[in-house]
Amino acid sequence: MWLTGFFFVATTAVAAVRFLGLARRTRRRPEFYLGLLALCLGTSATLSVLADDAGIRVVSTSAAVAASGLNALFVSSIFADRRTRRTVLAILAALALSLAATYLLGGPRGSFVSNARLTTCSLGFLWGAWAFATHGLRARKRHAIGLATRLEWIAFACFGLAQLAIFVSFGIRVYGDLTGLAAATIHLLQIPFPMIATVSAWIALAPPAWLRRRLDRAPEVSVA
Amino acid sequence: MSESAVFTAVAEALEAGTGWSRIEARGTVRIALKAGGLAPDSVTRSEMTAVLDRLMRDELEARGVGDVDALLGALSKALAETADGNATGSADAGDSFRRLWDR
Repeated sequence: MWLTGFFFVATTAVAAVRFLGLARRTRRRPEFYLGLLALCLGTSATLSVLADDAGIRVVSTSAAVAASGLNALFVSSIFADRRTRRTVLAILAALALSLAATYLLGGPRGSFVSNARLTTCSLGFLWGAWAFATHGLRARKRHAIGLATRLEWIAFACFGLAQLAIFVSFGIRVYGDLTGLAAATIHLLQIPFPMIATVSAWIALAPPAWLRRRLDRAPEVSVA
Repeated sequence: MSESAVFTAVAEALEAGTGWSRIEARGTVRIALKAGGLAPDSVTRSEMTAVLDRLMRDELEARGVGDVDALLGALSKALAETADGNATGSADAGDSFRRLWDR
């Protein structure tokens, strides 16, 4: 658990610095939201791992809530076009209201409000997973006719997988709390998912040079 | 839903070249665009060119069109005479990721 936690926190810290630096240069929202999102996920993980029993759980939860909201903003900043703007705004508003309500109501770990808050957080990531999976499928079709590189659709799929992994991780926590699983068992079950999320997100957001050389080329397409 | 000028031009050329109804012609173009991961309201001329080159032939043959080559030529001609207008293309999200990669 410690190794997983360290790896996840180190990766999110590097990602946060990288994306916030990029946002400073481009003045664009997607990279700004991503930078803050990475920062919040890292903070949340750090506090969960290091200080959950030291009475500052509320800070950890705040970071998780903020991460979910920032993720929603990131997804919306990429996918809100003319066709989907209303749907995106409705989802954002529902998530924001639910997060705000459950946060203001408080509630100790395992309580209904606490589980509702975590469920709302996880729904934010489930939405992201669905949005990126859908976009990945479309990019794959565009790749087949020469309008996108293979890396583009793989990146969308990987980022969808990362979000799905975070959703599952939150889901395990809620399931564990509802069924009375021991905290150690919950942590054990959660271990693979931050790793999956980290590696997938890294491939999607900062693919290594060798991968770009191999996959980020104009596709060879045979005319029907 | 508003459609791009490119979509409208190709659908109208298809309607004129086949004698199909407006709904049939537009539906056929929509199906071809969907197979290419594109949308009628944002498709650009370069994207539609790829669809005509690589997907439309199968759609027309499946619907029993006789001289497919001549019809594809007419569609390409109509496309060449149309500007992109306000169409934004379908790769906006890809552009966001690419900015991150190119840093």
